[in-house]
Amino acid sequence: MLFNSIDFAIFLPVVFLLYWFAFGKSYRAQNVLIVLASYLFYGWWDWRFLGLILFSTIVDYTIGRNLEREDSDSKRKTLLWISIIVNLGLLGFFKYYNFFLDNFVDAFSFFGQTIDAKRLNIILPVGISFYTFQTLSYTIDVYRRKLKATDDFVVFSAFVSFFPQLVAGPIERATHLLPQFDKSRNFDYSLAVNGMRQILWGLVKKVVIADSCAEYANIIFNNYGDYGGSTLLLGALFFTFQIYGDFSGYSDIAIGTARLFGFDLMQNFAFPYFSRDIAEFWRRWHISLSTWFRDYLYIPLGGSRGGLGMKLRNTFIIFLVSGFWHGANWTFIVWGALNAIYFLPLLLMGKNRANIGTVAEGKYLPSIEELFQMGSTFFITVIAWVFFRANTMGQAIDYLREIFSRSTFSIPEVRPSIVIFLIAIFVIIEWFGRENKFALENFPSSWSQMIRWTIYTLLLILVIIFQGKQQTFIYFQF
Amino acid sequence: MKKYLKNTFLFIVISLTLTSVLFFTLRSSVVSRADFRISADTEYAMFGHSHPEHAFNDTLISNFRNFASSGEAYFYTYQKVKQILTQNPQVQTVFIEFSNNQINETKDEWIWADKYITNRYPQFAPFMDNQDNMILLKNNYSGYVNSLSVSLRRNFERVLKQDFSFKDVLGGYVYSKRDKIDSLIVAYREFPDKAEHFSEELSPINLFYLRKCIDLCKENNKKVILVRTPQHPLYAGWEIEDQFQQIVKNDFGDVEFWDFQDFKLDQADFSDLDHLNYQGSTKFSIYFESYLKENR
Repeated sequence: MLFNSIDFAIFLPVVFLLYWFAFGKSYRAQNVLIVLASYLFYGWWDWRFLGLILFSTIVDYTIGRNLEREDSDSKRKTLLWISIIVNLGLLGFFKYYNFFLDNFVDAFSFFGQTIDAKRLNIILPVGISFYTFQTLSYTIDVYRRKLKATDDFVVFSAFVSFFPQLVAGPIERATHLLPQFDKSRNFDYSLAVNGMRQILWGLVKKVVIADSCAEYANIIFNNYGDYGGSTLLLGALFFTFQIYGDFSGYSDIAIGTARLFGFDLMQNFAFPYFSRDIAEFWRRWHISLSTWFRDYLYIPLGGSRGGLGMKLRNTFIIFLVSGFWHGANWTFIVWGALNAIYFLPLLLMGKNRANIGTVAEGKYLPSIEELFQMGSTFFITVIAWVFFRANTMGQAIDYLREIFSRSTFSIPEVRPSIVIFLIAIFVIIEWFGRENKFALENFPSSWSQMIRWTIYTLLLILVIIFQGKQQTFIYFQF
Repeated sequence: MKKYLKNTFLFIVISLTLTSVLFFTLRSSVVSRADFRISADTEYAMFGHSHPEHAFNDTLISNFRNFASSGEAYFYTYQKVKQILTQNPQVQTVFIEFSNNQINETKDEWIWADKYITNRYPQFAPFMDNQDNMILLKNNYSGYVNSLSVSLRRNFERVLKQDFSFKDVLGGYVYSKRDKIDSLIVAYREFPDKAEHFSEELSPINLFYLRKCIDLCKENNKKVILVRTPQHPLYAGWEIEDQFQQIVKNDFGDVEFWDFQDFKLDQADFSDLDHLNYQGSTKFSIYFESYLKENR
């Protein structure tokens, strides 16, 4: 079920009313409803893969319980490895089987050996990368004794399958989300209104910005050979806003929806395109994944302790794995590697934490220096997105070659003025809301209800007007 | 909670009311100013999907205009015919292509399946009546709701740009250089199990709208003729030829039917098994011009 579909527009109020009225007396009953609703939500795409979620849930629930009871370190380690192997095994099979097979065959053929290996026609279950990482966070935290294993199967099922963030995150930590299922939730008017506002802003990002940009990004990327550098640069810019609007829009809707049910999900995006360097960008982009890798991969590998060599190794590992997490294609790996290369100078100069706070905090406009920093960070990000969007490495290289040619100094062949206007308005609103968790959080708080409602109504009408080009969320494929 | 529900309900009602007002205002503005006018010397109008779109080169046929469009079901053709006839009294004869695949169940899908509805509905939405809308709503409610949004935006853009010309949705002859008939024949022979097959399931809504097109022409005192363009001998539609002939006879026996299946064409005149390429359409259009003169 897509968040921006009519199905979800019916589903959400029905579940909301059942949750607070029919099941409102007991949080355990509410948990049962959440599990049922989440399975319905997921099964709307493909009910066959519900078994996979259930399997993951049973495996990690059981392992969690055993980890809790077990005192022997070696046995606990074995249990943890079972969880890791099962979860990553499923992910690896569904997502990476054909990739490894193809590369294996290619590698052998390079040395003159022909291998007859059959590709499998595998359907990638929606959201598998997200819920796999979420359940892994549970077993790892129980193993580390950071979290007590739950003995309530319904609570654990609800944690794994919670529909707002099941298919595209935020990837929640068990330490943060799981305890919320184990206590009663009270309806809070201001939180719910805030949630509605975040849903509305998420819809604007997805439907108005991302889907409009997608239309032109697709045209330009799919026919990149027909266009000059200026159009290709514009295409890359459209994709830059598409992926941000798409993914952060989804996260906003997820967080807002969860809030309606009394849950707090972590912030997943913090205005990343206003970052002053690439390190800041990665602290603001897909925060739930970056911090997951930090806590469960980077730190166990040694993190920034040790010598320079270890720092570099760990940094590259994190970025390469992050790229690979996004998809079984070399373009994603190169995208990750490119970001690691961007990151290196900051790491070597010890400036990777130079920009921690919000840019131009408390001011209307940034300084010239900040503007330059933001502009240059934004530009290198746009270049990296070309690899992310391209279907093959060859396409990405050809695309970039044209961008860095003389033809970039010509007038673009594609000039959708309405979309460019919408992006400009969007950037302005985001800029003025950048000190909040999402742009509309406090944006109109000092204005009268009449003005606020007028703005909300206009935004909703805008969403309705732009709704028709419904595109699936990009991150569903990951 | 009460306050929240009340405010949410109120907000949704206000938003939907304003959207509806906007929708109907834009719609009526577009309907009142829609421009479907064509050249004053057009006496003959041809409608249908990709078969006539590829077959009738209207630059070779006098006073003739091809309005066919790929993937167009009669449901949408009807909207087009309605507007063309209303604004173009000079059109005296309406040709509607009727070939074997038009009776096939897949043609109902051409009315409401996602990729068709989101493309076609916004083109003609302002001119559709309740019955038309209900058919779409009943068969694909989510696609319909999406298409309403697209239609709203399309109308908004028309009003904003003060552009009420519908020339871009009228269809027309398609010049095709394609020549893949040899490879298709090879594929057909080597992989017979992968060849296209037609089921005997009908497309009741599509045929219902063909009847509506015919009745509309008759109400407007226009001559209406069903036409079947030449198809290749290996065309899958021949599998349901008996059924097709039954329908022609039983359901559309009151309408003249011009069948050009015996028109001689070479292999190279086809772009694939059911479409002509520019060579075929040139031969056929020249012949059609003379046939029209003899039979007008």
